[in-house]
Amino acid sequence: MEQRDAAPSLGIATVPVQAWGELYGMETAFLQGTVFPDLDMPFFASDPLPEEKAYCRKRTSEDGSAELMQEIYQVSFLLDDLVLYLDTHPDDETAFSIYQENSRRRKELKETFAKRFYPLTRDCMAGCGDFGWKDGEPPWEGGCC
Amino acid sequence: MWTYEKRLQFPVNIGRTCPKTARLIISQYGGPDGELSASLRYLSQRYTMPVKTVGGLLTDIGTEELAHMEMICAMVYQLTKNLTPEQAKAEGFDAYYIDHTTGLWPQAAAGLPFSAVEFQSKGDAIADLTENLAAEQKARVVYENLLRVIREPDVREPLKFLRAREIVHFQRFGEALERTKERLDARNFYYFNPEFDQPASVPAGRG
Repeated sequence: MEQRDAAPSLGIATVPVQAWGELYGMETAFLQGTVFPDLDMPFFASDPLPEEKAYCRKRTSEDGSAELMQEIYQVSFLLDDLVLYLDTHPDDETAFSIYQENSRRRKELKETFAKRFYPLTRDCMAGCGDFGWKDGEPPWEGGCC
Repeated sequence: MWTYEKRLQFPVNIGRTCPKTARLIISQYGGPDGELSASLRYLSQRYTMPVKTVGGLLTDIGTEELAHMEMICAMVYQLTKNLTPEQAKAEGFDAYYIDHTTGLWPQAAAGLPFSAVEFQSKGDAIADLTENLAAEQKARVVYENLLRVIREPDVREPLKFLRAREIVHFQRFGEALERTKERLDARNFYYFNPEFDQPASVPAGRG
């Protein structure tokens, strides 16, 4: 801790340790590729092109699978980003409580998805009527979402 | 142990066959700054990391890189779906097509096969974490170069997502280096290699 307040040392790289701050909402975080506005640094060529303005990224489905999958994507990504923050800030209680809350949410969503459609992980098969591991499109096909 | 989750980290839904774009994007599968290289780099370096949480970070980022590799492969796969030999020829995909048809094979955009020579696991925490900082920067540049030349929204979305992840990973590796420095003598971080010379000097079970 003391070292971080001192002048950076010579002969070695120094990166400031991120302080906890505002978070994006789940949907924005997913689209921006980070939940931390402080780390969201777009590149000029990633600005939307005219043809992108009309691009509809949101998938819809009659059976609700696309909508549920979208929720799983978002909550899972929030956890993916938060866990890396926690790896370098293991004592941050706020971050951990957000992690726990969303981890519970993800578990519920995955179980619901398994019951209604197919299991996303082998663990989810506990809630399936048959060997559902074979079900669902392979993820590289684009699938429902 | 790893468990597979039957979904991509970020969706890939590309509507149009475009071997020309596939030929560029495949670099992030098997190229020098690609996702395969990234995952193997981090997953190899973690075993000897002197600070336990840094080993944990390498596991988590290495795992995420595997998910990125899957996204890149999904992009190449979709961009070459329903490819005709004529299209392969007209769009510069013919050399790849002759060797691999439309199978996925890790290579760089210029055709060089994937090689472990492209990354390092040096057995020295400072050297490895500094390499990782550079690796994230190099991967960011590849995504930016791709974004300058690719105009299809359905290809750009996942590329933007992947580019953003490089910046976050850079930050985390920087913090991992700071956490490692805290355990070393600030007057001379280089007096010994904590991964090799004096493991006992790094407090056990902490970190």
